[in-house]
Amino acid sequence: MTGIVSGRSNIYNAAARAKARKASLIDSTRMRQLLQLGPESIGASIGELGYRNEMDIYSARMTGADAVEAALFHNLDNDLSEVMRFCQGPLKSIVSVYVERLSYEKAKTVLRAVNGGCSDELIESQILPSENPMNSIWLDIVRTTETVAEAASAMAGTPWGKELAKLEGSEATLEEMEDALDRQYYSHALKVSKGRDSNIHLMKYIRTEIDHRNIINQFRELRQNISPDKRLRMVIHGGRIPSSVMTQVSQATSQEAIIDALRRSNSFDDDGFDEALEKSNSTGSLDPIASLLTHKRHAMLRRFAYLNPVSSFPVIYYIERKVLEIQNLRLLVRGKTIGLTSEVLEAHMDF
Amino acid sequence: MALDIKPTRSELINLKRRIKQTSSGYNLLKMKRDGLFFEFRTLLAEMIAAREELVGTYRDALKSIALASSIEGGLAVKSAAIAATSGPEVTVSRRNIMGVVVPKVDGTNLTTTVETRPTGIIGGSPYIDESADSYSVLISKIVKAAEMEATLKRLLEEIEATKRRVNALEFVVIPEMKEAQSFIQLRLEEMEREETFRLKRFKNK
Repeated sequence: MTGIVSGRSNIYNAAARAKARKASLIDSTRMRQLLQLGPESIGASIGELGYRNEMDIYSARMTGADAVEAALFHNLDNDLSEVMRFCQGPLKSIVSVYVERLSYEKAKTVLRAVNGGCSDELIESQILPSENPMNSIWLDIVRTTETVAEAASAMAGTPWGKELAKLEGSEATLEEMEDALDRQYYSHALKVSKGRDSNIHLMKYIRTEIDHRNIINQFRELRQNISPDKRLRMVIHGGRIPSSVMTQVSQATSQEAIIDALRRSNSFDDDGFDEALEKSNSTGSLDPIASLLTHKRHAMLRRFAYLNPVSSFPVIYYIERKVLEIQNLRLLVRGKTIGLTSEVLEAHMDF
Repeated sequence: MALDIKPTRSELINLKRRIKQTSSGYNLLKMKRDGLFFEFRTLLAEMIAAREELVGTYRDALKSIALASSIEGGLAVKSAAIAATSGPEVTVSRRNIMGVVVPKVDGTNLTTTVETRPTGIIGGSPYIDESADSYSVLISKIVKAAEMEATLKRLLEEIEATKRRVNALEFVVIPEMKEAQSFIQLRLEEMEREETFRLKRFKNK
């Protein structure tokens, strides 16, 4: 939970450590080998790939994909806190943007649990496992609060708590709170990317992330017949695509019209969009568009990490690769358990 | 068969009236049975189509939640699910089809959209949206199929009961009454013949 930190960054040291950590991640060859295995063998192999301790913790209580997923997230939490520990100064603020993304998700889960009146046991056993010490702060909020407002107050002192405090007294709904948190996350990310030890590529990457979020949201909202006014209100500002273009996008009445409106901006990379749109129309799902955007973002991050070897990028790249590894493993385990084909799994994986 | 009836002319008249009434009741019941059967067949065709549609929707829903759990994670899907403060509700009332009381199932809050779900829009996932949408469609189809299935079951029970009544009238009640009628007629004719014979004997004396 970091604001903007003063002092000097240890970029050289942190970048070197991040690169060393990145080298120990599961490579694409091993990931492809895992893709050929059955769900039980994947679980065993994941244990051998550095997740044994966490898997042992959860294997007593959970089974199958749930146990593996909980273990993967426990490992991710531990790993990210180690990364945060070796970052100093403004670099820590930059890195925290990527680490705290998970905290924002947990904050939302807590608000949802309180809003939905979920039992503490359910949250503790299925969503925020109590075996993970980093979940204890969240579980305490779930246990001790009755209303969403109380839960928001209990988060005081954190970036998300501060944002929620602004909504106090306005009788904001859960939806408004979550949207406020997402806006605050991106505005904080932009603020940090303009600060010390940042560079133009980091800002470009964050602004691209905002664009991608806006684009996929426009497609989602169009499918749900949300009014153009609301669609415009849901646009996150600060992306590379100008606001005037996003205004036109929010008025579009078809998927093709969205793409046409986006093409008016030079910052929109339309490569692969026609095929994705065609697939999306034939399958009736936004999956091809969402996958395309994810692949584009990962490719961009990879390029920037190589272009800026001594910057915050290697650290951010490591974090994103680690998150990606967790997502790939989860996709493999869940997908294989449910019976998704290897082709479908491979199409959604990024090595 | 031993018939416990009085072979009188008034009994014959009564019996004839009852046979007429029973035959007309029999015809009415037959018409009811045919009508119910027609209704049943029409509903059955709809039910088969609805069932196939339901299976298809269920398969799509499973596929979409499988993809959402795999890509966004089971924890994210569960996190989105716990936000819901109200679930679908079903009320069962009664309606009448040709005198048969069948259930009428009405649902509220069966379908949800991104706007009606309590979670935020900005940070949402298209996979979770699609999954929630497919389950919304599935629930409304389940409610429709449940109403049709219950109606069909009730209609089938009524058809069976009507069929039993029709058969009882056709093969037991009406034949018995006709037998009684012929017995009385026979007995009356015989009594008439006896009477004629007795009169003739008196005349000869």
